[in-house]
Amino acid sequence: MLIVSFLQWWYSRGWLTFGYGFLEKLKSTADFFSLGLLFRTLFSPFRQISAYSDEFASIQQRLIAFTDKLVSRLVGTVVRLTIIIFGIVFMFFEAAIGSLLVLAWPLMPFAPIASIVLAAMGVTL
Amino acid sequence: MSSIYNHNCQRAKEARLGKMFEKKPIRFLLWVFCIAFLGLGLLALLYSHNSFGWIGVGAAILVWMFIYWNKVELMHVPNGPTDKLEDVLSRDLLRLLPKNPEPLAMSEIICKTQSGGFLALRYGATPVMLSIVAAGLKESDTERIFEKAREIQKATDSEQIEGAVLSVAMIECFPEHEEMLRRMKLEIGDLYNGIIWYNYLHGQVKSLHKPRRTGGVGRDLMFGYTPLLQRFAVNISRYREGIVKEQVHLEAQEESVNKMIEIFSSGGRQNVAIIGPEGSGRSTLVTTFADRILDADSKVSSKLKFRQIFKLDAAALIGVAGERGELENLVTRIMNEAYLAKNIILWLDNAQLFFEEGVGSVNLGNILLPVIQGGGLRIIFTMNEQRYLEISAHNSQLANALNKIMITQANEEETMRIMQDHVPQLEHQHNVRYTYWALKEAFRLSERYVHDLVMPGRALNLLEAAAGHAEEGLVTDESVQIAVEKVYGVKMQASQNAEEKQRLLNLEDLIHERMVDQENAVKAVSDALRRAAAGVRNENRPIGTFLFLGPTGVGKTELAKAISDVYFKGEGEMVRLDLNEYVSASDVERLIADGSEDELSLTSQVMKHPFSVVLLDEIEKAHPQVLTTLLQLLDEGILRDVRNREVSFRDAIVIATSNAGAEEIRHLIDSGTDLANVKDELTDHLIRNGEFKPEFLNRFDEICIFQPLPKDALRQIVDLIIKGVNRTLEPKKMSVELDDEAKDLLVERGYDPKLGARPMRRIVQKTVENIVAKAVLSGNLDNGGTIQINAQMIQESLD
Repeated sequence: MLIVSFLQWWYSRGWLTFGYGFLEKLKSTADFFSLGLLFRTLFSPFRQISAYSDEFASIQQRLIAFTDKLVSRLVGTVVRLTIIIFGIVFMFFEAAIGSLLVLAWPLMPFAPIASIVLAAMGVTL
Repeated sequence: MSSIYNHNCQRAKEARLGKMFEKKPIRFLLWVFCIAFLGLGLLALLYSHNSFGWIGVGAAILVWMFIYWNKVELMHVPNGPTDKLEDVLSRDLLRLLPKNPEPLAMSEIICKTQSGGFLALRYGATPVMLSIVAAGLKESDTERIFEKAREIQKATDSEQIEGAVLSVAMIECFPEHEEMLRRMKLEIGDLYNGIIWYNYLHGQVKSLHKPRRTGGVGRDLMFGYTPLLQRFAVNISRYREGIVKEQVHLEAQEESVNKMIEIFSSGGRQNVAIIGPEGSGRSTLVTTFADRILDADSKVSSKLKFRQIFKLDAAALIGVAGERGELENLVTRIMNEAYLAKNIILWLDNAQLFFEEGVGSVNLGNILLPVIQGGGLRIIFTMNEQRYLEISAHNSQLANALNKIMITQANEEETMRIMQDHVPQLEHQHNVRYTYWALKEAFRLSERYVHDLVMPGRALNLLEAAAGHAEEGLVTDESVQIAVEKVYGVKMQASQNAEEKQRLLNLEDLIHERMVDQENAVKAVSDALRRAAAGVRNENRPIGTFLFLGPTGVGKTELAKAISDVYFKGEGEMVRLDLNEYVSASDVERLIADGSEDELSLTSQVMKHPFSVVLLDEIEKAHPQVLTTLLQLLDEGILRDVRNREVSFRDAIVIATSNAGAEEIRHLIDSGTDLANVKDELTDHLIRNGEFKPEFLNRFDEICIFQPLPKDALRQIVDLIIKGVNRTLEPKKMSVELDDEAKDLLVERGYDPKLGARPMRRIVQKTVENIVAKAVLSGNLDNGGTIQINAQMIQESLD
């Protein structure tokens, strides 16, 4: 009776819970690498560092400020892109493993039987 | 809707199975098996090329599936799909309920559940109490109990029928539950609230396991460096990030937080001034706001999300900047840094420190005003109403530029919820457990005795102080009372020990050890004190309010002193005001002045000594405006001081004395009028003559008439004074004795019809004390000796 109950759960709420948990994990990873935030501010100056220039500044000062800001943006973009790429790679592997498990979920209860069959057939790696 | 328990239902079986695997060592063992099977299987497959390795892998998968099932299903057993009883009973009940759960069996298991244990600890719904309840129920009541449990589940918005719900259902089905709860100082509604409290805390614990998303590793890369702010401010957001716990959501607080979000998300002036009294939760509001904008899942504009709140430290700023120009320069740099970082919200707590000149404060209004008006930098100000009014008076431009959010003090329901929210934190800090009565008592007593804060701060303050008086780790209402007794010197608990009871029963005798006669007044005051000690008085009034009327020197003030000495903490603790110093309307201000300005004002003295005798001497000389001010004090035991704080006189005995009508008393008593009639006639006389208004006289519990002292009473006074002299001589083991003639002579010379017994002490000093002094100096009286004084010696001293 408990086996039936277990199987019922496995193919209904169990599967959903696992799938939901996997999506939550992906969301947490995206938050951990700040993907949304970094994409939104990809070209912002690094740590908001740039030379200050006001409306009374000379052309030369403005040019320095512009160059300064450009460099700062470039540094910011590189740093952010590095984190974004690292995060995406990490999430890719996480998503691949998770999806595999979600897809393999319905087959898992058959694993013990399959293992006995494979052992009996003498299949080795 | 069936309310019959099915012991063999699927959820019950799962719960019982889960019970077998809930212990940590067993779960650990399962993991060991899982890893071992997998390891051995893979070893066999990869190294030995043995096909039996598959069996190891298959077994590992099997064990893992069970571990996962146990973790997410068996350990929780969520509700079933239907509305049947078996689908809504909680896991911890299902795993313990026997096949036939009759009331006695229920009473035995309820407290073994988490929520049942909670109710037992906080509300006294212990196994003993539940077994009494079960004894009053029949086996056939089981279905009725489950039906009641369903009703309670709905009423308390509980997800499941937990142990606490079943506990309350059992109690409510018990026919004499009202009487039983009354004896426990509870109502059934309190138990319902207990379930809600448990559900709330249980929800908090659950939220601890949820991952909190606060922006991640790249969050701070978007924003600028803030070295100055790191030095001169505290990053509240960083601190809150480490706390997973959410705060209780109150409607009023929610509204204020939403308003803050609205202001900071709009394009208008980017500042918020939170104005409210001390203890009303201004800082809590800011931290709640910090939590909200830090939460990636909250619906907050991206303009605000993940912004960091820095609380500026005024003392650190003033401490480091020696001269005025330096300080202004430093603040300007900090503002620039915060602006350029793009993610900073500055918080100026006790904002008045930045807008006024004084010790520990500096007026930076000129620097801050353009920033506030410009709206480029987000700033939060917190201050109390009085400070805001002062700032408005000095700098209306600044006041007009602020977006105000006014907060008021919490009501009882809100304060209880906030206290319930804080209890786990306090319990963790002090390693104690709080009962529900402790919370109720903290609210009730803090309202009366804590003056510097408003709710909920004042109740929380007292609740924390009570932790130091826990007994066996349990903070009860008595712990709160002891905390009040220790801090405010008030006798809270109805008299318990035998010595105290005896003292109260013999109060009249004890008072008469200090004064003579005036039986009516002594009895009236003693009765009031006994009522207070037994807890049968009206707690919304002073212990007693008395008007002592009579000629001078008959013992009015002496009785007040005697009470203070015998029952309160000694004569020195008496709050005494000579109302002949309050003869103009402007003196009202002096009467209710703030303690920091006049420590001798009535309100500040009673604030410091709430448990005392308040003696208002010569009340007839006070200005009518002063008497009007005292009306509320006499009526409700409350007087508001200049800062509009309620000062409680509800643990004081208020005695007003007056010589008004002294001649009338003498005349009436001489003419043989009964004392009861003297009182009525005198009251009429005083009202007719305009000495007192009827509404003033009516406010007193009792008007006591002090009659002129008869001769034999004067003899007793002499005895009392001599007793006092002997007490003074006691350390030298000397004593003095007077014969009857000597006493008669003292009575004759010491009594003045106009001044009563007042000259008696002077006469004794002039005679007896002088005789003793001479005897000691001449060597006629050695240590341990007794001097006999006769009438002749007295006469010689007087000559």
